[in-house]
Amino acid sequence: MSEVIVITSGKGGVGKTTVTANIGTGLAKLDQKVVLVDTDIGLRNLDVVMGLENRIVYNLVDVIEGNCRMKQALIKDKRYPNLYLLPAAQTRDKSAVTPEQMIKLTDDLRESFDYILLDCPAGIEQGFKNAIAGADRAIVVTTPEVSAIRDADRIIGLLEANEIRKTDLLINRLRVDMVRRGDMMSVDDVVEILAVNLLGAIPDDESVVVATNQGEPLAGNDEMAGMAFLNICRRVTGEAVPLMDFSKGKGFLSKVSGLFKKH
Amino acid sequence: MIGWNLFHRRNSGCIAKERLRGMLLSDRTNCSYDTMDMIKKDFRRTIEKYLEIDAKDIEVRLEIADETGQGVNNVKTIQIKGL
Repeated sequence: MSEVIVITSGKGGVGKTTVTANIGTGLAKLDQKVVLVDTDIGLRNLDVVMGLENRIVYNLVDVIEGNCRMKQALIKDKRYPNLYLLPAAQTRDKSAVTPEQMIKLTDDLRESFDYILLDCPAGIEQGFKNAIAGADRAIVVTTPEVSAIRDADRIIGLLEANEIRKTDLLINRLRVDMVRRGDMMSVDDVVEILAVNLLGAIPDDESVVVATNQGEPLAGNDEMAGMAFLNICRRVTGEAVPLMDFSKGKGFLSKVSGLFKKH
Repeated sequence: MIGWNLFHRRNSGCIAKERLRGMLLSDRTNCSYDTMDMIKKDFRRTIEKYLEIDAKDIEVRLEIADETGQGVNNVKTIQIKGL
């Protein structure tokens, strides 16, 4: 059974595109057949994070308008045999497609893929409505900051109103050192405020910036963020994986409540 | 408001959490901060009308209930401080 998952947040810049690229890559590493769809028409970035920006010929809008077949638009990632990208158009805007067209598109993709990941644009307007139209479930990305959480709450409400059957939370850019000092809300704090199921957390990690510079998603590598992403991918497939301890150094009061909860 | 001056930088995370609670309550109920204050004020006045207590000794908190249910066991008891 294919799953169509929309990765959304409300707030811009919290890491939706990075999360989409890395969950997609991680799922492909776990031998799933994955297609990443960039629905941010006019401001495409998923191709950049994936390092596939120089291979775009056709895009999402071309497929919907019938200018090409789906197969011509899909970019096969040479690093992973089961990973494909459907890029957004750069010279159009969100009004170029309708929710109904998106539903048809995702239904077409269901025939060939285990996971269809939709990278949703920021906001709650047409772009958001298009992205959630065909989705079975949603991953809401937030950082542990006031503005991001407020927007995430609004998005969660909208997802519920649109009858998305499963919504999970991903907390990005967690700074364990700041949490310990009391200068950042903890994973537990955020989950308590938003009252939605936690999919996982990604620590703030310089290697993410490096990965984007190089166009090489880091899911599954040895860095903290890479391992955290792979754990998240396992949870997406239904596996129960305990939350990582992100604090460095031993002998810490790092095993605080919540960090080692069995999922 | 006794606690406000005692918050210092170390607890900015706690401040954030409290502020968020207020924001989400306001957003979800579509109720401005002013209206929420008026609700609390009216609540205190009503209690004061019927009970031997000063309005200033009553703390009113508005919270979002995560779960709702029917029946006696689901009715939240209102704790009135100072009684």
